[in-house]
Amino acid sequence: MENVITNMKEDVRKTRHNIVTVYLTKFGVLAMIAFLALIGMLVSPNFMSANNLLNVLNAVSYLGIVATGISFVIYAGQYGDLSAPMTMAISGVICVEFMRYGLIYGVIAAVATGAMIGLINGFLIGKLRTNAIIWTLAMNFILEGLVRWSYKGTQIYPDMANAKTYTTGFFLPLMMKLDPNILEIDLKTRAAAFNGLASTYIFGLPLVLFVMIIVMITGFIIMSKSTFGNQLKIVGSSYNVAKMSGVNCTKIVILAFMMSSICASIAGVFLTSLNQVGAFYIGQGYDFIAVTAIILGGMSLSGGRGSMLGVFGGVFTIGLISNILTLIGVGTFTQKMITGAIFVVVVAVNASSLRKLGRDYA
Amino acid sequence: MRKFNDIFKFKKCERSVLFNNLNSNRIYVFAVLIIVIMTMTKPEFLGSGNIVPMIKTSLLPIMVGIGFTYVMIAGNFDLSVGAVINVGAAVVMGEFNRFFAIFGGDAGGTKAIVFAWIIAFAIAILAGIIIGLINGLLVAKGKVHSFIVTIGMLTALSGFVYTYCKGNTISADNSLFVNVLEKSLINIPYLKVLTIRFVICAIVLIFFEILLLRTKWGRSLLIVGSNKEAAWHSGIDTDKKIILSFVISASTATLAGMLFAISMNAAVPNYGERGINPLMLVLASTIIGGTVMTGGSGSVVKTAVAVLSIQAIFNGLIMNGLGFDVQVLAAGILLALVVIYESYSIYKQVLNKGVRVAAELKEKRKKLKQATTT
Repeated sequence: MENVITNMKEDVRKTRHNIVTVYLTKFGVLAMIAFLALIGMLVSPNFMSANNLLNVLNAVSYLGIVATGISFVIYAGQYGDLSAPMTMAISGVICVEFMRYGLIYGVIAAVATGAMIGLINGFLIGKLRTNAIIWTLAMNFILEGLVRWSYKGTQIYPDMANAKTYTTGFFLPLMMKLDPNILEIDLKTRAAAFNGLASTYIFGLPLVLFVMIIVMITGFIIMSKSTFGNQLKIVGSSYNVAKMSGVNCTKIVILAFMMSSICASIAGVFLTSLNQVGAFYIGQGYDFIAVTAIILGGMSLSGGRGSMLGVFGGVFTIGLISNILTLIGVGTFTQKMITGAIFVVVVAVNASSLRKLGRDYA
Repeated sequence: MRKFNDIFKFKKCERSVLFNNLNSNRIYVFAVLIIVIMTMTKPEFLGSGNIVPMIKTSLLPIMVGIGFTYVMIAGNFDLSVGAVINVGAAVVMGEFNRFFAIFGGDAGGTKAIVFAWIIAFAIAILAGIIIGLINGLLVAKGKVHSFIVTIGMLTALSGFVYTYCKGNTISADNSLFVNVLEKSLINIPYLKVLTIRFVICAIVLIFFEILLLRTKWGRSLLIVGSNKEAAWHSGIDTDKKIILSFVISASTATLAGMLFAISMNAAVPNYGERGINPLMLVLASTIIGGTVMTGGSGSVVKTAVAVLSIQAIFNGLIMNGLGFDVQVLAAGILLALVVIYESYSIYKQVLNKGVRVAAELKEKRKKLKQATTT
């Protein structure tokens, strides 16, 4: 028996993290931001001006809100929430519909819609263990169909309402039925309030930026300081261990998806207000950019690793890349191509560095 | 012990043979059902004026479905097919125009046209193979999840197509081949479908079906999908199989895009972005066609039948006076229903896992008891 033990090969696998990798995963985003800032200064003297940086932050604040939500899903070990674009679109549309009673009702209706979508997603993925990507993709298609079918290919403008407007839409025909005098509502001022949402400035800073910061700080507290965050981390790192240790995995996954959908609907309301039109194409592509930002920020796709600070860094990096490419004079579509390529490379490097540690693969 | 058995009456969990057969061939049942319903609501559904265009429009998703099914059987997903279609379409048109001009344009005669098409085809297919190789290498060797790789690829490629087309529609400078490709070979009402595009599609479909189900290579791909580790232990080069499945997917999608663009004589950079996404159609029909989401079983022909039946639903919706927007909704709901059904059956299987063992134990104990009493 002893012979067998002495003949066994020594375990040569690494047990400790490589110190360089540790610092790279922790501060990799900061290094990237510094590097990009350096390039930016070389490219244009205007880059470091407060105005330009503020523009960058303003441009990514919609993305930041969405990314905060999706980061919960990725943290929980699901691969992402592809229903985010249509969640944004549908909550924008619902907000425009309910805005005629007052802005606050619109926002509440939009957030409630988001929560409902998140509940459905979470139930199917947490309870029935459906593949997250396939289900959220299917959900995205259903929502797109719903919006297009109920609007019959038209769009909804906040400040425009006549008898014909009330024939299409989710709740507009019902509103008309319940209250025939709805056409006499003073829509102009309320539409102006809604459209002004995206261009409201507080202390010279846009309101969206404040919303993003509040959402991110809340997300940070929930993710790293609360019981829910700790349970989320266990579920993300090892589902079975979490189940065995008595965590209600279904509930956690449902809450993560609801978080994601609610954040997406908040961003959707602001984006609809920015575009001043509610339509099914609002928010297209946000799911992918959000996942890119989250991965750039050092969150592992296999779940349970990463932080909200990293997500902010990733979002800011995306903004900087787009800003620098615009300053150089690269077109939107080439930017898209470059972002996609960066994403694939970053994910590949991330996965290979994790594998070298023998941890897991994403 | 007896009391315990009385309290917990274990139900029978084995499914009947008939149910299993029906479930694995459910797509044929589905197709027949749809045809019957559509014919009952609109008798002209089966007319040649309706069937022929319907089959022609489903040639593109059928082609794309071949590669998509292969990738899904190997246990991965290829979400980049939607963009690869556009790449194939744009590259073949753009390269044809370039080489046609180099060969002297219309002055070059038929020779210039033929050579330009051959070179353009080769370049487009090569582009498809390279895309598939990148996807496959990242998934198999880089161990990155296939969703992530292909979603990144989707974005990069759609950016590439827009830059390549400069946002415009590309048409071929010479439409000789276009006419040849779309001309029906036999001029009988129902056989008008038989164009060269249809024949190419059918040959590719049958080739890949035989490759999958009747050859050693295909059977080992099925094993890779159902259990990767077991496949590796039995001496199959799993990485190579996965890479090749991605190459097949990207190249069939390229081929589909090429043929579609040539038949329409137009390559648009945003095909499928505002209408019904080909990805949605192909994903729904692959899952409806009985390919298991986690890999390991499936058939190319069943996917093709599923594409045809979904197209029949769309067609019937239009004939019954419902608009294009309803189609998008119907496709989404169909996909969702099938995904829910599949995952619910897996969920029930997992729930019943222990129960089945208990039922077997009960049977054994009964037999033992009988043996001891007699």
